[in-house]
Amino acid sequence: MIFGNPLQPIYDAFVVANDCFKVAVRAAKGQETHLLGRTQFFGATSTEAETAVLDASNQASDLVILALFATFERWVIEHLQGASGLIAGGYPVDYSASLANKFEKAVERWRVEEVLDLFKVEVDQQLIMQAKQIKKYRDWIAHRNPQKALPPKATPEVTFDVLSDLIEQIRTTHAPSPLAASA
Amino acid sequence: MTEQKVEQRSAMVCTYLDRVEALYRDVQQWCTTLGLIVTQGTVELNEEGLPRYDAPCLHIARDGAHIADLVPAGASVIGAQGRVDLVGRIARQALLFQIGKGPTISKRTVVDGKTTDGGPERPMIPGINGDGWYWLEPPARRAKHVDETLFGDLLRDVSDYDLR
Repeated sequence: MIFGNPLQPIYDAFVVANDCFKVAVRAAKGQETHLLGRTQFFGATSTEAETAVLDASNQASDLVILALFATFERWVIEHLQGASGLIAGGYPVDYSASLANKFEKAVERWRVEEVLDLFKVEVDQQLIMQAKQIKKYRDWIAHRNPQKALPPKATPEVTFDVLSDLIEQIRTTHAPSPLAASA
Repeated sequence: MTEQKVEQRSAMVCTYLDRVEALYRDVQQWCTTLGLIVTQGTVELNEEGLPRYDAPCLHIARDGAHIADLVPAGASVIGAQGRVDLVGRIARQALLFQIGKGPTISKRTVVDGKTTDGGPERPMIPGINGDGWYWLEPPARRAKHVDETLFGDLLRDVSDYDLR
């Protein structure tokens, strides 16, 4: 586990949601009315409850991949925007400030696949490739065109692991060394 | 696409189907022990960069009641060498085929601004030890080899069916 991983709350929520689905279906099958009040499971048959829960569980697996990638993408953009400070420190001062400002805005529109290539040297190439595949699968989930062949599939667990490892490697290799900081 | 690439992709599908068949042979045996009836079907898979192909699926039942299906999900998956889903009435669990120690990550370090190799590779997913089908335990994300005991647990998990 990495400290302050922005993906952790999303993954944890997904695991809790799956546990809740199981508890819900067990309560619905027993028609434990004190647990089912003001829910769609009240009065539902076992089959209705199971179908609703399986559909929700499948949706949750797809949605968590969308959420994990969106959060990862935001983290990477903000990390890049941190570099605007280096540009702003240039010469002449006003020009550098304008350039830094423009850079910060432009980064928002960069394609994530190209952004990932910027880290190719410091970060494991396999991780970069897998992150690009996750992006492709994320796009497939979002558009879901049945005519198109399925790209390599991702599980929520592998998505979390790949993107978390990438964040960790970028953080580790991009942190200024103590020697450089004190120089 | 070159002839060599077509051959490589067809070989990838064949290898995947062999692995799926091997899993199903084990599952047949485990299900017999649990008093479950297994029947086989077929699904068509359409994966990017691979020819369309048919893959076997298994339907698991007891006393006429459907319990779960084993559905091939693809030869081409991220972080593994193939996937089969165990789909029950209330949940789905992914079984992933892994080779050796599974996917590995190399570490880099930056010294004086220059990137250097940071030492030996480490497994991305702990718990993988040898070729086979694995399941990733959600909270810990530790891989567990799919054996008779784990398969029984997963079957209960996806179906909420009392297998005793």
